[in-house]
Amino acid sequence: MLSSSCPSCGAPLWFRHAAAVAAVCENCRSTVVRGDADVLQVTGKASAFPRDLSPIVLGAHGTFGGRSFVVVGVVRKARERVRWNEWYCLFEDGGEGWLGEGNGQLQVYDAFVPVKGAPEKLRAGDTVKIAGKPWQVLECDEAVVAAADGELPYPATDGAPAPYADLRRGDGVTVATLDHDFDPPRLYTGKLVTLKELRLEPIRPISGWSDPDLKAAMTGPDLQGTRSLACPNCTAPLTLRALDAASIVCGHCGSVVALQDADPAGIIGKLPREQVQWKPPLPLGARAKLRDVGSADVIEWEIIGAMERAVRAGGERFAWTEHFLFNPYHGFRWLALDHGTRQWNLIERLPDLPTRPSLRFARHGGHSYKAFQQGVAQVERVLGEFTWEVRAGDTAQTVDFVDPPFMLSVETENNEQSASLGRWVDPDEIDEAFPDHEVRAPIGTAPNQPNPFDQTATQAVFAGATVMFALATMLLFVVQLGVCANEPLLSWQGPFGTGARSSDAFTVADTLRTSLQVSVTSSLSPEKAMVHVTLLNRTDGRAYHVDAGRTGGSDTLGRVTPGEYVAVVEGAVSPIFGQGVTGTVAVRVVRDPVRYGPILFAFLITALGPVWWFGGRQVFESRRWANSDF
Amino acid sequence: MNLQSLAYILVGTFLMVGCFGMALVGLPARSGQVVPVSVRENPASFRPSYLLWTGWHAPASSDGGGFGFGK
Repeated sequence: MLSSSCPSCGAPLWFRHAAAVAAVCENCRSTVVRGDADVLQVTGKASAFPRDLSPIVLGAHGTFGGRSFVVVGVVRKARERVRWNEWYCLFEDGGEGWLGEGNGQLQVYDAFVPVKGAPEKLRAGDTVKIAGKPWQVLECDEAVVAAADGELPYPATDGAPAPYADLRRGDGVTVATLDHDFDPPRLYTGKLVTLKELRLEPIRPISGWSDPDLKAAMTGPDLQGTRSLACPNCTAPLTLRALDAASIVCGHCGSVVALQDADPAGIIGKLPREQVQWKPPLPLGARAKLRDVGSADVIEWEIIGAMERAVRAGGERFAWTEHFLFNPYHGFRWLALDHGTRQWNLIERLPDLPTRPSLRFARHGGHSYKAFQQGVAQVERVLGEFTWEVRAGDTAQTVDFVDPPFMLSVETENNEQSASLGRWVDPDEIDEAFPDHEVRAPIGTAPNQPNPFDQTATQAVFAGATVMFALATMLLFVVQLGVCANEPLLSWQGPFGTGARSSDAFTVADTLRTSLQVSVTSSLSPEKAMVHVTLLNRTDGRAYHVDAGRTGGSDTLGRVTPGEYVAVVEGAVSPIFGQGVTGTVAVRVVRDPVRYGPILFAFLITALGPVWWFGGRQVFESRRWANSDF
Repeated sequence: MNLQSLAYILVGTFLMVGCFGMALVGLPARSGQVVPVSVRENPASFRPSYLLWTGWHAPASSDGGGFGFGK
């Protein structure tokens, strides 16, 4: 550790870490550089870091990739009205890195390589090869230093230009940034993280918010969760809920107020009166717990803004409301309500863009998505606060891809692309989350609504029932083999003749199972002749007609009376074609035969399961894709 | 769980019970038609085609009764 005094004001100044090249004097805000032989030199001044905007503090310890680190400095950078923090971290093994914090996302860059001849200008959306690996260019711009604090690896002074390029791998996790603050530029690589994963300690508690996973690490005075402002136009009170917001719409006069570090920074627009009176389906300030988009974590969110957007196609207007959600420990999400179907989606902005192997498909994070709809979405109404300067009338080209329950959306606005991932939210989950607000029942199928026939429980029931019925069918067959007498009673054969002939007598015993199967076979042509057969019970005089076709077939007679029987066989010939017809007729009678009809029917019931499941699934998919543009 | 899966279980079980019932209990009894004693004693005088088309009629004049058309 180097202990010295500020060359500018003489206040004590420390360089606690050998890797730190510069430090900001807490007293006079001078940026002091440690030169050769530890000679200190003032290079400029840096504004104080606004400590009430982030729960992260200097001196906090955390863990990333099994390596412990400590936060020793911070640079706040700004571009247009976008601001973010870059926390300088030193690892216990001597490595250094950055913890990026902005737009509700955290990234740790824990490794870097110097890149000689790195391109200064990259185009957003392009894929470039840097240091031997392909990267998507998400953004390439020049920021300026807005504030700095603590120890840093380079001298950061107010207004110093900071060209950068944000790069992504396209897997939803791997990130990189090409930092031109160094010579040669450094390519920092890392990953998206959450506060919970970093196990940062201490972090600042934020009044009005709690998180069970982070509670133990919270120490120090509370950060104010909200800030009261006055509208610069009408002086109406405004409540700022996300201190990172870039704009807020005054609900009284409709002024769109730009924000800078949670303070008003001018009026950048004004909404018409009818838009000011707009009430979104869920009110600003409402809080609810919802399961997150890509994880099972249940997170409490507060609605801080809302906007209504619409796409016009074929003379029709398709509108939806996007509620902007905020949690200071988890960032931002959207809760979107489609007006046409009354279906809900929870949406998270992705850190990168999907790859597009073809127009009809997109890939991201190991998932493949099918193109569903596209259009030009226009912001029609807006209320509350946002992390960008939102204006009614803003348009963006949108393409939605689906892989239920997820929807991947790619938006292009002013040649800049962004992507988001939405999860279909069950209406019951919305009902439960917002018990004080009326949530109307859905009236249509959402593009990314899971097919109910693909649910594990449904598939299990269909599969289980099918197996059960298959076993029952086999059991039915086996039981019949065991129970049925299948007793041959008569096997008679005689010449065909137009008169009636009776067979040998046979006896049907007096039992419970007296159904008879009568099979008639003949060598006759149905066009020329016909055979009629009747079983005659000579004991009680009952005659049973056998319906066995014109010249042969089989018929089963339900329970017949016991007694002595004969089969009476009568031939008939066609008056036109039947001259000189000869042949033989055979009759076979079996008592209590194995009945294949019920077995076949049981088999059909079994087969109905897979057919029903497949058909139901296809009907649902047909309804879904009927609304598709592709 | 999809309600249609439950419907399949219920409908399938109902029909399957019917299959078992039909297989084990058998078809409903057939009543048949009662013929006179003369036919029982001389089955060859019986005309199954009459049973199919018309049915038995009592003897009338010279035909001695039996099954015939146009009853």
